[in-house]
Amino acid sequence: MIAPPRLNRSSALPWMAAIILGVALVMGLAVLFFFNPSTNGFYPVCLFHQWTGWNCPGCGGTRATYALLHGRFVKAFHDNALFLFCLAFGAGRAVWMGIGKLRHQPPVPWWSTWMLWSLLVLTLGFGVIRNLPGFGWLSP
Amino acid sequence: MYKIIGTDGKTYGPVDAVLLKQWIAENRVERQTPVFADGAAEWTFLGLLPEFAELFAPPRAGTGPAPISPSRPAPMSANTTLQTSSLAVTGLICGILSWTCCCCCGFPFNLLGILLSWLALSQINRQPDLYEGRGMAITGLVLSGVSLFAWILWFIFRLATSTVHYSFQGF
Repeated sequence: MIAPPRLNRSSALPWMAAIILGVALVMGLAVLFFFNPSTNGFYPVCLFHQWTGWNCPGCGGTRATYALLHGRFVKAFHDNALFLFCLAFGAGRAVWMGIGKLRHQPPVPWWSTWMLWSLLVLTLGFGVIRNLPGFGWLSP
Repeated sequence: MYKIIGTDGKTYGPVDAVLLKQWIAENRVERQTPVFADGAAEWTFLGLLPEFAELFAPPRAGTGPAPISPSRPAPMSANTTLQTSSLAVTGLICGILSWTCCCCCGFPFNLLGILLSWLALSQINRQPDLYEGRGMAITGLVLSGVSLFAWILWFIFRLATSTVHYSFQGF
């Protein structure tokens, strides 16, 4: 009897991608650490901001990362609160999943549907609120 | 007796349940494998047959013990093996990124978002009893589409202004 071929799910590709992305991330962070985005002009600018004058939900993310790398958490919060929140949430989730793995609990996916929808609502809401008068402390 | 279609697209069988269970154990067939049981009216998926469903590793909300985690709702009934299309999820993430990575008008993400959401929609339409996530796919498609439209507008704007600039230099 001829049997169907085995499903080939494990492959080296995800690992290669993870390594390449990791190296790129570290290099990017190194550049960011030594060159302040507020004083160096070679960083990409937000076209939405240039065009409309408003801050998009991602505006200030580079400056927030720079502030974080130098330990200035309050500055990072003012630059991009959403970015800071997402980082903190991701870190908390990773720790939570790590604890579950150590306790040999069944694995849970790293995301769930309600998280994605909340992220969407948060992003859009944040993009609106930070441009309203009185919320200047949310703008970089 | 059952006939199945392998990942190579060829039809295998008819085989009995014992051999099919062995194929499951040997990771040759999966929940999405099309299967035709003797006496059945039409093709279905292996994960939807109750006699095989529980042999597969428990899906997200499956037949195994419920994961102890407050962040997840209690599993639905064991028969609902609908899984959220990961294409739709990735499409929606790309759609969100196309609005936050504003430095290039979200350029790589809006194209990716449109492509992935489109694939997700066709996947869900093709196998509605296997995949869910239509709302996500549509949202990802709309977000990416509006972002791409804005990018095209900006590109035309840039082209127009650069031509004017050029003529001022005497060319």
